[in-house]
Amino acid sequence: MKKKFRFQWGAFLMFCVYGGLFFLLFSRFLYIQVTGEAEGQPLRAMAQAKYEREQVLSADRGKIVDRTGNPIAEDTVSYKLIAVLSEKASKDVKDGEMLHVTDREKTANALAEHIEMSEEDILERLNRQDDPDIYQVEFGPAGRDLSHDKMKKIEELDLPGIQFVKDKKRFYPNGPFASHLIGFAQKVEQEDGSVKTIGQMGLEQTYNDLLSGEDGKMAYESDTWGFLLPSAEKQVTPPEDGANIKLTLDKTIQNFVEDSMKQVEKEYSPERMSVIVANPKTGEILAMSQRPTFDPETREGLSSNWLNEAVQYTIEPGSTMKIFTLAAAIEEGVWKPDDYFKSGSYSIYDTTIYDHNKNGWGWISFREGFQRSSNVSMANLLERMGGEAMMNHFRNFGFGQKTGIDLPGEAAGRLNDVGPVERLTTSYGQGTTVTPIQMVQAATAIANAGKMMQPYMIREIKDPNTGKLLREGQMEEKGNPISEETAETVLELMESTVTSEQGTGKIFKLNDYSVAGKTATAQIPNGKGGYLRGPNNLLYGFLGMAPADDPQLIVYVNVHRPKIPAGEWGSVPVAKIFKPVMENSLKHLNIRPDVEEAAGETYRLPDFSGQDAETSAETLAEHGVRGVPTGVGGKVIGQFPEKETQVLPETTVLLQTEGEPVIPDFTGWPKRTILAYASMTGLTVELSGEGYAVSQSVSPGSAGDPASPVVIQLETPEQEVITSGQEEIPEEEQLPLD
Amino acid sequence: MKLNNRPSDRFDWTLAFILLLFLIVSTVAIASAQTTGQYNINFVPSQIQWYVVGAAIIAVMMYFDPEQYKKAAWIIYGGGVFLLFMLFILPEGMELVARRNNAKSWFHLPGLGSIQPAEFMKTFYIIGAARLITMHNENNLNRTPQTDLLLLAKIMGLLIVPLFFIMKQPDLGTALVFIAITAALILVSGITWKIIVPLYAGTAAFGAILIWMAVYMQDFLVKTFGFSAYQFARIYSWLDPYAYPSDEGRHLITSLNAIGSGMIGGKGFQGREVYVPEAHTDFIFAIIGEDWGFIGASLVISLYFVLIYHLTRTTLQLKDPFSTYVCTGIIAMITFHVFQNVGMTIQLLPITGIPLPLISYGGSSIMGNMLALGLVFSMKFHHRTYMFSADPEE
Repeated sequence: MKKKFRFQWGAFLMFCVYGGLFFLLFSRFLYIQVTGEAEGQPLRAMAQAKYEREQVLSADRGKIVDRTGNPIAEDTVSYKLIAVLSEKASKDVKDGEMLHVTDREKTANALAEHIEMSEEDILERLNRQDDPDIYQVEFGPAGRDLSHDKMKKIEELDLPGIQFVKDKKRFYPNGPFASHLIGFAQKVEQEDGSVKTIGQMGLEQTYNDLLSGEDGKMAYESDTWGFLLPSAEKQVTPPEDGANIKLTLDKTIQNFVEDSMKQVEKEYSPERMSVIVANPKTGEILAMSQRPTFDPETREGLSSNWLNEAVQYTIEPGSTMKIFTLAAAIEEGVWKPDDYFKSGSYSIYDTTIYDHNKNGWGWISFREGFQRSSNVSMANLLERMGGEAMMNHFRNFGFGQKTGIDLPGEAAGRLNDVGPVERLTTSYGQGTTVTPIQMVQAATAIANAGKMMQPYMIREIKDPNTGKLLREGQMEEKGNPISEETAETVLELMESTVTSEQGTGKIFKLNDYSVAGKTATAQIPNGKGGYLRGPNNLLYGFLGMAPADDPQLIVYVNVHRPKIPAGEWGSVPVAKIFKPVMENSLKHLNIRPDVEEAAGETYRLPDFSGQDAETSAETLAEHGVRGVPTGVGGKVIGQFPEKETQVLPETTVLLQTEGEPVIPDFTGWPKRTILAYASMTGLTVELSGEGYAVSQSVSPGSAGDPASPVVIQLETPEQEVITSGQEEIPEEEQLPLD
Repeated sequence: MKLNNRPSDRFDWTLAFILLLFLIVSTVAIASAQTTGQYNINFVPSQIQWYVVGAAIIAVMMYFDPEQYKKAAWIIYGGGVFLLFMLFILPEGMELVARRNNAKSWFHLPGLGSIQPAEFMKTFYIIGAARLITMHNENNLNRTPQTDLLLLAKIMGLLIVPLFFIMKQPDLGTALVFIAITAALILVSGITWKIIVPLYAGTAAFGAILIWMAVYMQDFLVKTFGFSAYQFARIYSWLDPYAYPSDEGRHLITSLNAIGSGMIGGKGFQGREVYVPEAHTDFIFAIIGEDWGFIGASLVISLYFVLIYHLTRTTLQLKDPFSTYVCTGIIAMITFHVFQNVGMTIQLLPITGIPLPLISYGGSSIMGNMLALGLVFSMKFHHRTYMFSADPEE
């Protein structure tokens, strides 16, 4: 009985202990589940926070497209490489397939051939396998944004544990393409470890909020470990894709710009270049680029300069500014094209400014002064209209104020209106700073019958989810700084700088279109109050519009400090950009060539062979064409150019005669005509320089001697800027030239 | 007293009904846990299959009467130890030995799946210990403190062998179950209170001091007893999982999140939001807590209580000391399992990898528990025949 008694007590005690344990469980449960807290942690909220964070449906970043919808920046599918390290992954897999990395060395070796990461670095990441808490690893930027091709290639290696996660990548299909304007977006690791694509520069940055869109949620989609939780309740908040931005940019024209700039950059290695192409009728910017540039995809070439120079960088524009000085003078009624002035230099108080040809061209007309880009002519115009009037006109043209273009960080520039000397230099574009976009804006007034157009870049921003227009770029007339008549007069004069014999813009002549424009050769401030010196330290620019009588396009090109080969004209790199861009763009826009209209004035050369040289020359003279017999009298046995060729008035036509060669006056002859002369006569001609003949070693009219060569100096008016000794000017007196 | 020897009347229908309820709870909970698609298998049919195998085990167990178990006790115990020994000495590379979660606890039988000998050893140990205590008490009818101490030593000797192999696997959870079983058996073995009270109080105090030292005197433990620092991780991640989010700490946090966010009513079938690793096995209770809240968790705990209560009542009815000891051991085993498993999901105890009896998915666990309950069925079934001979006055 005693034994039984003791046992019962033991059983009772045991039961009490078990009951107590169960009571413990109950009370702990009650506490946790009623308060929803453990150790002060809000469990319910934590459970849901985890669940929401894990279930993001990422929104597509908005596209940036050109005016016709060609993509400039868009999201594409990419793949992210991950390596599953934990053995847990291979647990409970039926057919014994390994789902985690089993051979680290082999894996690292194989991967190193496909991603931009060294074998050692990959191995280092894989070695985290030793930490049992790590389930998988990623490979940073090297493992992100892999293309489908690359993904397939790695997949074919059949490495256990190597997997891919579908991802999105910002894709810039055009390579370097308005890069400083568009900027780029980059994946940035957030504080919570997630990776988000964020615009870092340019439009991608300015409009980041609109482009980013709103990530969606899937109410149960996955948990911490990425496993789907297919609960019955589906609460999917679809992602709101980012807004699409359509620019006024024309992909084709932009490509013309990029291609020609690339070429010039290679050939002349300028310090920097900028180009703007605009439609003067609407103010739309059709192309905008600069050098140096970078590839937004790889960021290759991206330097510390993140400025979109067309709007954010100010320059002293040089002679292109004379367009607006001229316009101001016409408005003020002081423009008398046939009045004469003494070119060369101009003094005000103790300051003297010079023309680029320091000695000038003697007394010349104001028209010729403009054509020759004479600083002194501008000084005289300024004197006639008064500084205040000129500055007021400049303000009306928008200088010194932001244009208000829909691009970020615009600079205002500074109209240097301190005193008479400053106004004087401003009249020819030095001392005052402007942005290229201000120049283009002001030029729209010239091209658009006096109406200045607001430049703009964004055509529309559209929400793809609702189809709602968030913003629409509108053509907007900004002001009327000059009259229609003034605009027409300026255009005519600008055209003459390209067409006239002494014009500085001759090399900008296009094959099929007439061009109105103005060159610039400006000195570049050295940042210490003075200017850089030497032939390779100049800014060459051209502000041109075409067709000249009703411009459809404005192209403004600036090339800073190109390395010009000896004897070459400084404007050549500018022309190598301007001409193909303008000509091709006009054709791309289906603008009718207008040089054909001048065809009525051209003369179709007949066949002169067998005819008398003197009579032939007379026939030509009747059509305004200069016929030059190569020798003394006699019958014509050959001609240059060939018969049936259309020639313009003033063209030199060579008539080959049987007689002894006579040295003609080569002045003004183009190189190819001189070469044709040499081959017809058998005389030796030595050419130096480029362009048109300015001097010759044997005087005209003398008999040609095949034994002694004729040395002919070729030159162009602007080349003198480089060669005319600036060092002669005393430093204190040195003022910017054009 | 109405005597009835018809088998259907001697069968423990109540226990069978309770097991049926467990089958329902188990399948529903496992189904609710399978929301992640982590495994390509549906565990529900397999679990039902294990229950069927379990029923067969019970049937076989009932075929033999307690007297036969008593006679075969040493063979059974020895067989179990042999299995553990084999597991211990066989090299890891062998296909027969499976290592999971860093523990060498499984035999891998091609075609049959994996089997965990420790799950069965618990019951084998109970049989062996029950036999040992019975024999000792029969041989020492006049108890003295000396004979009690001898009994204690014998029990400890019997415990130490399987405990050693299980600690070597290592499987702390199961080892603790062995200790819990032993503690219960000692309590009912008739050993005098003069020994039991200081023994238990001393063990409890030692355990408490050890945990306290692990927290506050880690350096001392490392230097003096040669512990390595990682062994403390389990303690830290238990006491402050938010500060030590190691594997176990994270496990505990997710489990707490799951249960805590279930609140009173739960989120409903498959309504879970928190991914709890091993949800269908060791952490099945987190699923119950999350999907059915306090109400569901309470019901399941109550079901265990009903089971324990029923087993205790059965034990008290049995007059044969061997059967009582066996039943006591089984009750201790199941109770401790439940307490340890549920306790670890709610931060009451550190995390150890042991399943929730009769609910967690797993063949070894179900078969092991069915083996134990089969003994109870057998004892109940064969009980009345004993009554005539042993205790006719009732």
